[in-house]
Amino acid sequence: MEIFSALLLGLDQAVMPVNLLWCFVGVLLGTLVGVLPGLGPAATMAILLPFTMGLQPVTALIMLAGIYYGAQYGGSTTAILLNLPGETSSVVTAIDGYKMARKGRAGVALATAAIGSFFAGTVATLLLALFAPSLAEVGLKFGPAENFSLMVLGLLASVVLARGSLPKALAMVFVGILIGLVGQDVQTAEPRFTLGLDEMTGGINFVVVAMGLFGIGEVVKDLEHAESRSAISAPFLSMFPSREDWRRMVPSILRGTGIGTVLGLLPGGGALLAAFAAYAIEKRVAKPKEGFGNGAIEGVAAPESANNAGAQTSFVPLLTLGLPANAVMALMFGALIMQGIAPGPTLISDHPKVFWGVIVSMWVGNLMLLVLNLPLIGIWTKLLTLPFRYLYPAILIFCAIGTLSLNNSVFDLWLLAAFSIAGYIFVKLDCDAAPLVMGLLLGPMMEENFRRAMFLSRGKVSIFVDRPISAGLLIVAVLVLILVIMPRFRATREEAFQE
Amino acid sequence: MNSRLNSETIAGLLFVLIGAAFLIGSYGLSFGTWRKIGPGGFPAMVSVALIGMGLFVAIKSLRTNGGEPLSFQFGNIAVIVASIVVFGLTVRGAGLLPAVLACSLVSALASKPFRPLIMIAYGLFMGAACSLVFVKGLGMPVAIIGPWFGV
Repeated sequence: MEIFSALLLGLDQAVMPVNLLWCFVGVLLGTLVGVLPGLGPAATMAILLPFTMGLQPVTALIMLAGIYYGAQYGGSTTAILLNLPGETSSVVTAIDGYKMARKGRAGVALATAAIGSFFAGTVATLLLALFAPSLAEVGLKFGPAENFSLMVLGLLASVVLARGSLPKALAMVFVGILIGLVGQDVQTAEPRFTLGLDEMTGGINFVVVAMGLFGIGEVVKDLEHAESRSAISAPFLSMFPSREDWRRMVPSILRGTGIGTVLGLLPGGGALLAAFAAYAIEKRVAKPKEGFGNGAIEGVAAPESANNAGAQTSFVPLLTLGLPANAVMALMFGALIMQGIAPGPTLISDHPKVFWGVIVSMWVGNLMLLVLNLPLIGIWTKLLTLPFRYLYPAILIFCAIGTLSLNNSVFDLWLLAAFSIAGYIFVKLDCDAAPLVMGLLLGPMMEENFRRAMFLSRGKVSIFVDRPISAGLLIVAVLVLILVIMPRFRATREEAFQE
Repeated sequence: MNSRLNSETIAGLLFVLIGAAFLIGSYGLSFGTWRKIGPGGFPAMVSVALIGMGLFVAIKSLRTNGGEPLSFQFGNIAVIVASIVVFGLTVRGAGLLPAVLACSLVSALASKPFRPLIMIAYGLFMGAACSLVFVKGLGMPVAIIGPWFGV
């Protein structure tokens, strides 16, 4: 019963007062940004990353993880109450959730979302604990060639799921890789692309890039659409689902959990994809009389379970193979590196406290959310009425102070300004910044593994297809690419993102 | 604006430009051999891939005439960037509190209506709160009121 002693070790970490406190801060902040439209979990994590550097690694990760799944809860709260999905992953929840609210069943919808999320989170946490160690063992057998191929697959998969056109997303990955290579070369210590500036020899800090592209980029985008939000919250009578509600939601929660768990595991997956897929499947299996799309409880239960399960299991590739599945995981990846922990297959054995602590804390955090979220709904909806003009200067100040605190260098602020401009241009050109951040973080590792593999093979590129695991990963990558180029899939993909 | 100059075309050309810049940058570095790849090898490969992808995007946009014409609103981004720059220029000399105040005042120019008095109060409050949390609490090595004020 190795798994139980491991989970106990995790529980030991998770219930330490300092970790409980920061877990609470994380989920609270996460819910807050989930409620506020415009500021997503990636942006929030980027802004807060510098401030977590003083914490213990396990505490920092617990808090950052809390932001991610807390945001899922918050996003669905406003989706249901106000038809304002705070997060993209709760867009589908708004369809039936808001209709339920209009019928006076907001309480039931919120309770369904919370129950579904909690159930899914519990299942996903258990599965994570069960399967992560064996996956890490597979990862331990990886050499440089396999690592390189794995990153190729990871980047391709994340591109497939990016918004907008595929060639542009691929180009953004390349831009990210190139920015990641700025600074001293690891092998020869030669400065690269530094424009002769001493400040650039250490490379460009990814936090600055992520803050500029996500954080400030979103502020500017929102300023253009600064609409006045009116919080007309729907009345809610009862919180408790009826017997009929239970009968209808349980199968949906199970289905949503299953879909979310699997899709979260895939490279490129995560909460967003999980929610969309779960909603699409519910739509298929729904009987006409259930009024799907018109306030059906299934339409809330399934995507809410799925997005939470997906959020949870998307940690698996990161913590076992060192492969971030999406932009949020890429930021976690960066946080691990900044804490001096190498994300990869050795993480579980080298840092068992970090690994199991983070896993168990996710369950604890979900429990906190379940208890906390419902009583705080009134506060969240009030917050929505806070005018954006009081919000964005604070975001800017946090970005500026955070950037300054990274290396105590004013030069980083100039970089922040530059990447804010870049972020705005990318928004205007309809280029999703997430693939860039993925490339930025994986770029240096890809280069290192590529060079090492080539050295081991004495200069033969065929090493990437000669080694079976590496070849397998590359075949999957090619399949993914073919699948996307095929017109049929492309149509579904566009449909999925339009909904 | 020219009907052909839509966002897709510009995006493609921008990618080509970035790729070319990095390609030129990697020419000053050693490419090495296939066995021992130098510091310039990998970036050069990625740059070429980026240029290729940029050309693909640009050419495709010309053929399909897709994408929307651009509308840049430089006002907001200029104000936001200015607020960061102002923070950077003042934080060492004036200290954190004045820098935060200046940053919030400048950034408020992007919102309508601009209410200077409210924003001064807001900036002072934020500055005091940040000084308390980051300098006093987290020990950030920055003066709250800097040398410009003779402190």
